[in-house]
Amino acid sequence: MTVSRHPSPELLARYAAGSLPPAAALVVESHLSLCDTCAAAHREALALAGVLLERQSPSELDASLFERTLARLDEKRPAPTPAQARRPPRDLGIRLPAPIAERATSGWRWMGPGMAFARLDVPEDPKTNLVLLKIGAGKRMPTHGHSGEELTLVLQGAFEDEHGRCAAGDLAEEDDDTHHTPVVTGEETCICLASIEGRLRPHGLIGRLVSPLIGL
Amino acid sequence: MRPADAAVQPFDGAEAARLVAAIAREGDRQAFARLFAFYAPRLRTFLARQGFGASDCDDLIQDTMLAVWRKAERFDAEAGAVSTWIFTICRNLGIDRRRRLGRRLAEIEPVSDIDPSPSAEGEIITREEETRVRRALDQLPAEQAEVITLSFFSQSPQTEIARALGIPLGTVKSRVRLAMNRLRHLLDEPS
Repeated sequence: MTVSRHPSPELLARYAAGSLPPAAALVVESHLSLCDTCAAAHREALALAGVLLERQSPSELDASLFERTLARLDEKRPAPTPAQARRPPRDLGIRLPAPIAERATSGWRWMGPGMAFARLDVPEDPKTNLVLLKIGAGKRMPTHGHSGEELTLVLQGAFEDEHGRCAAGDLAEEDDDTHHTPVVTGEETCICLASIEGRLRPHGLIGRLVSPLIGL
Repeated sequence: MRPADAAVQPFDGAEAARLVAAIAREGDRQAFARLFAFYAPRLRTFLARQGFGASDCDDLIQDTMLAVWRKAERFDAEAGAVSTWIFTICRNLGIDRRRRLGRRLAEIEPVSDIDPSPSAEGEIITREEETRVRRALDQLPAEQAEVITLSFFSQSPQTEIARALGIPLGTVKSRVRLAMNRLRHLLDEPS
């Protein structure tokens, strides 16, 4: 897979620090599982974070914290929790990246002619929508702005927007100052994984019709 | 037992690795005390910047240092990068805690398909790489180092960078790019 659109250094920094909201972190993690360049950049970002940690000015600690930690050193180690039997997730007819492969989904739902979506279950991040979008070749996605951050990872096919082509493995970052009109290019149906923070603000008629349907 | 002198100076990576090795070999509590004295107050600063409250900070510091004690045997004392390792443990524990908080807020039963096990903890980073990063950061102008720190550790990097540098919000992105590119350049320089 040749990836040409990668997460920005700022996004990788927040992911390395562990401060990205869970749904967005899953999209970045899915990208890393497909992109060796970014997997290496992530390892380097962790090293950078380690060195930055050394350089933080020390905060005062509760006087008893060291004693309390010491007292726990001889505690019995917790037994590893046995892996729970997993319900196999619904087959969506596409191979999902490992970080999201085990998530429960809503299954494909119709969203408009040639368009479907499936919601992924991310109970730990109630403020963000994590969805799979399936858009037929030649279809224009609803023009929309954002009230929050949106990350889109292409899993199959390609779309094109103001910033260029976005094909399998590519990650597009949009924030609240962007308006974009992605169009699916090529013969193949485009399938994307998107984390959408806040609500979409669709500009077009279709968008306005569609957004209540998918509850964004 | 008391933690070693809290004013302990940052030791070099090789010394930190020797301390971890001493824990692995003989359960050396003095070595543990020295690591605690250096890392715990800095983890506190990091966690507070991430928005964790006082009791969450204390729990996460304890759990991180406890994991250091327990996993010391699996740490590669020859090549391992201690700061990256400890940071990664703390990061993963923090992510796990945030996930649990999120689920509680949503009042949804925990689902079985969330993997609570942190991924491999920085095993792939070598001390050599960590040293290269340390050297690059040393060469970065102070203001750019601050921009990098805020990009990594701040809860709202854009706002805080604008405030720290006294620049309009709209110009933050280009400053961050500049700092990141400069660091990239320094990291890629043959040493």
